Amino acid sequence: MKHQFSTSGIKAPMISCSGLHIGFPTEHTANNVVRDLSFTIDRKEIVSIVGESGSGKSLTSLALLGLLPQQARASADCLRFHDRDLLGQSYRDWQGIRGKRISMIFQEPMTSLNPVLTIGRQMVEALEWHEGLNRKDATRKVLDILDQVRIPAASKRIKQYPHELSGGMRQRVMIAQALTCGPELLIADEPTTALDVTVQSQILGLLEQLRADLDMGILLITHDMGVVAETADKVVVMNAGDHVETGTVEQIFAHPENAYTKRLLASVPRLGSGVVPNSARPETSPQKDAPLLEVEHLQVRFDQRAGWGRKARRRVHAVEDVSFRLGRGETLALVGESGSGKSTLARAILSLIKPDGGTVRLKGRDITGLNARLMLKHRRVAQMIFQDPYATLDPRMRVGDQVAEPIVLHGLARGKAVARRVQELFELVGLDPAWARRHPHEFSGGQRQRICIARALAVEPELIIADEAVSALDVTVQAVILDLLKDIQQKTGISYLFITHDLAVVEQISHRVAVMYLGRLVELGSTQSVLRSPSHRYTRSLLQAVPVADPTRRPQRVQDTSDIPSPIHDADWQPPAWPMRQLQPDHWVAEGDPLHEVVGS
Amino acid sequence: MQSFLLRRFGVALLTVWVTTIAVALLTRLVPGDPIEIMFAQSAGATREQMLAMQARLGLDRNVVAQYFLYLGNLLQGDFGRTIQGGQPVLPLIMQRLPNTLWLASTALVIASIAGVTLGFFAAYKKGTWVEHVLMTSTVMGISIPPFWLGLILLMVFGMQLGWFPVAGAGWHALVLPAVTLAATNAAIIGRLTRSSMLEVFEQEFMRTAWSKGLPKTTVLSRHALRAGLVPVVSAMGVQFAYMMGGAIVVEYIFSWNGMGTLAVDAILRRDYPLIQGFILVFSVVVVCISLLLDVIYAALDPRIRQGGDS
Repeated sequence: MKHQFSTSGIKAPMISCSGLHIGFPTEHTANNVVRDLSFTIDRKEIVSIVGESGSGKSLTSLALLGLLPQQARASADCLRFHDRDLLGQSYRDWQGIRGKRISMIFQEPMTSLNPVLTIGRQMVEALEWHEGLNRKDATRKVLDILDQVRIPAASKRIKQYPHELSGGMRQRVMIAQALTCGPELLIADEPTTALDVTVQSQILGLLEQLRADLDMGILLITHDMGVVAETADKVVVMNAGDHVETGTVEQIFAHPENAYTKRLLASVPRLGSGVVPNSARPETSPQKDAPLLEVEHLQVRFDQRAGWGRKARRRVHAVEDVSFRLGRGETLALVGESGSGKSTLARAILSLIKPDGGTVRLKGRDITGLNARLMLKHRRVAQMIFQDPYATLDPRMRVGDQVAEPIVLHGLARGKAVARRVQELFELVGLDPAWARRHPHEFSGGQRQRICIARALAVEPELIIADEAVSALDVTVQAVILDLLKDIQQKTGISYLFITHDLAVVEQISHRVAVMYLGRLVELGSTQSVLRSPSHRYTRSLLQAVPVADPTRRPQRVQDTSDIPSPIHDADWQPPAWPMRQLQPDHWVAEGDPLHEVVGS
Repeated sequence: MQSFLLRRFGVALLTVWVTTIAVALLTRLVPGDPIEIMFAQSAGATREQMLAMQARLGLDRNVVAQYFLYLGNLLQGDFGRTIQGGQPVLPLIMQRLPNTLWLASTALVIASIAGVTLGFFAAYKKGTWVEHVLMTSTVMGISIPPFWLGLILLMVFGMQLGWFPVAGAGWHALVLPAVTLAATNAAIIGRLTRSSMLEVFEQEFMRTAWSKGLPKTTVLSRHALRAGLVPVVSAMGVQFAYMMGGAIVVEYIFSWNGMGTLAVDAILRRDYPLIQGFILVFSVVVVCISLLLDVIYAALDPRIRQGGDS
C-alpha cells in the first residue's frame, strides 16, 4: 500500500528536516545527543524512527513540536513544516501548530493523561480553543472521535477519569485526543510499548486505518523492529545520536547497509522462524526424574473490601488452580499478559504472598505455611531476579557489597573467601571484578541486570525465578543476557522459572511454556509444540498478535476491541471447573474457555 | 463519594472519642494528688471543700467508673466548672471560641493564598532570581518567631504608622494578629507548593497539555495547579491545627479576646476542668477542619474519592 504522489508536479514534503542537531550545551561543549539527522515526512506516509534507548529518537520527535526540555538546544540546516520554519518560533506561533496541525501521543497512557480531570474535559479543551466550539458541540465531536477509535459506551467514558480505564482504552483515548482537531501529522512516541501484544495489535491496526481515513502522516518512534516491519513505509535508523540509515521498510529489512542496522535486525528475536540467532534450546536437557519444584492446585485470591471490618464484596481470582512441575536444569517460561496473575504466582511460590490453597513443594518438601526461620533456608534454594535492575539495587551501596550481602547473611563464606566468591560471581556474569567497588549508577542497564543475576547466584540457588528480567532491556542487550542465563544453566544445572510477556524471548530460553490467562494455566507443553501448534484460543490470539519483523508478512488485522475479561468477581462467585486435556505426551491444554463465555455473554 | 464521606465521618467520631479518654485520664497523669494540686494555689481551702471536689470529679471511684461519669457529663453538655470562680466551663469556652476561629481561619486563608501564589511562581520561575528571592523569603518566614514578628508589627503598623489598632475587636483589629499567625504557615505552604508544582511540571501529562497548543494560563491553571494542590490541601489540616496552637501566643500579644488567653490563664492557674475542656474543644475543631479538607481533597483528586471501591 504505497502512497501516491499528487500529480501537480514536485511538492515540498510536509516535514523536511536536514542536518538536525540537538544538544545539551555546557560552557565548553555542545554535547550533541542528536547529530546531523535528515528525513522527510509526507501526508499519508508512516515514517518510523527506530533506535535503542539513548539513540535520540524521542528528542527528535519533541523537537518537531518545540517541546524539547529547557536545557536542550536544537539547530538545523532546515526544519520545516510545509513552509514554516519550526526553529525559533514563539509560543504564539506554536499554538497555531500544536494540537491543531501536529499532535502527539505518548508512550505511557496512564501518566500522559491528567489524573485529576475527566477524559471528556481533557478531550474537549483543544477543540474549544482551536476551533472555538462551545462545550456542547465539542462534546459531540469528541463522542464521534471516540467512536472512530472504537471506544464502546463513549458517552459514559467521557465522564470517567483515566484511572478507571484499562491500558488499551487509555491509549485509545490518547489517540482520540490527538485526533480531535484533525491534524496533518501525528507523532506517536512508542505508542504501544506499555501495552500487551494483543492490545498493541489493535492499536497499530487503528493507526494504519486512521492514516488512510484521515489523510494524515504519522511519525512512529519505536525500538521494536516488529512494529516497524508491520506498519512503517519509511524507516530512519538511529544509533546513539547518529543517523545511521534511511530507506523504505523493504530495503531496510531485506538489504540493510549499515553494520548497526544489520546487528539490530540480527538481535531481534523472530518467533517461529528458522533463523533464530540462538535456536531453540537443544544444549541442555533437563533431568525428568525428581522435579525440583512441584506446584499443585495453587490458589491466590485477594478480597476487595469497602472498608475496615466489612465483608468482601468483590474478589480477585489472581491465581486459580494452577499445577505444574519444574525439573532440574529445566527452564519453564510462564507467559501471559498484564493481569494474568503470573507475578502473583511467582510470589506465591516463594511464599512472599500466602496462598489460599494448594501446595508448593521445593525439593520434595511442602513449603507452604513454613515459619520465617525455616523459610530462610528455602529462600537460599530459590532466588528471584526482577524487571528493573536499577530499582532493585541499593543506590548507596557498592555493587560488590550487594553481591556479598547474601553470602554473609546465609553464612556461606567468611573473611577473604567472601571477596573471592564475589570475584568469581562477577567473572561468571561477565563483569570485571574490579568494578565491584562501584555504585549502581555507574553501570548501564544490561550491566546492572548482570549484577542482579550475580546477586541471585551468590547463594548457589537451584532455582531462579526471573520476573520480566529482560523486558526493560534493549534488544541487543537482551540477547546477550539471555545467552548469559543459558550459559550459567549449562555450567551449574540451575532451573529457571522465566516470567515474560514476550513470546520471542520464550522461544530463545525455555524448554517448556506455560500460558497463563485470568489466573489459570490454559496451555502447558514443550516450547516447540506450544509455539508451533498452539491449541488454546487464547494462545493462538497471543501468537497472532506478536509483530513479525518482516515487512513482507504483514498481518491481516481483525479489529477486535474487546478487553480481556476481568479476574474480579463477586465474593460469592465460584470459579468453574476448567480441566486440562492431554494432547501429546508433553502438551496439555485447557478445555474451552468458560470464563470468556461467562463474561462475554 | 457518599461512602467516602461516611467513612471519614466515622473516623472523625472515633478520633474525638479517643480524645475524651486521653482528656479524662489527664487528672490521673498529673503527678501527686490532683485535688491537692488544684487547691495548692487557693489558700484556706478546707478539708471538706477538697472532699466535695473529689466526689464531684468522681476521683474517689475507679478509673473506668470515673471515665463513664465524665463521658456522661460531657454528653449532657456538662464540661465541669472552673476551680477559680466555679463557672461552667463550656459556656466560658464557647464565648471565646468564635474569636479564635475567626483569627485562625483568616490566618489560614491568608497563608494559603500567599503560600500557594509564592510557591507556584517560585516553581514556574525555577532557576531565576525570582525563585531565589521567593525562597529566601520563606526561610525568613519560617525562622522568625511569631512573638517577635507580632511585636514588630505592633510597633511599626500599630504605633508608629497607626494604620491598625494595637488591640481590640473587629475586622480592623484582626489584620495584624492574622498576618502574624499566617507568616510562618505561608512560608511552609509556599515551600510545599513549590516542590509539589516542580514535580507536576515534570509530569508526562504536562507535556501532553503543552502539546495541545492551549494558552499558557489554561495549561498552568487547569492542568498544573489543580494536580499540584492535592498534596498541599492535605497538609493544610495539619497547618490549621498548628495555627490553633499558635493562636494562643498571638492572642496574648494582641490582647485578642480568644480561647488562647483563657487557656494560658487556665494553665498558669492549673485550672484542670478548664484545661480539659479547652483540649477537647480544640481537638473537635481540628477534627472538623480535617473533615472539611478531606472533602476538598476528594473533590480535587478523583482517585481518593473511589479509594476503597475500585
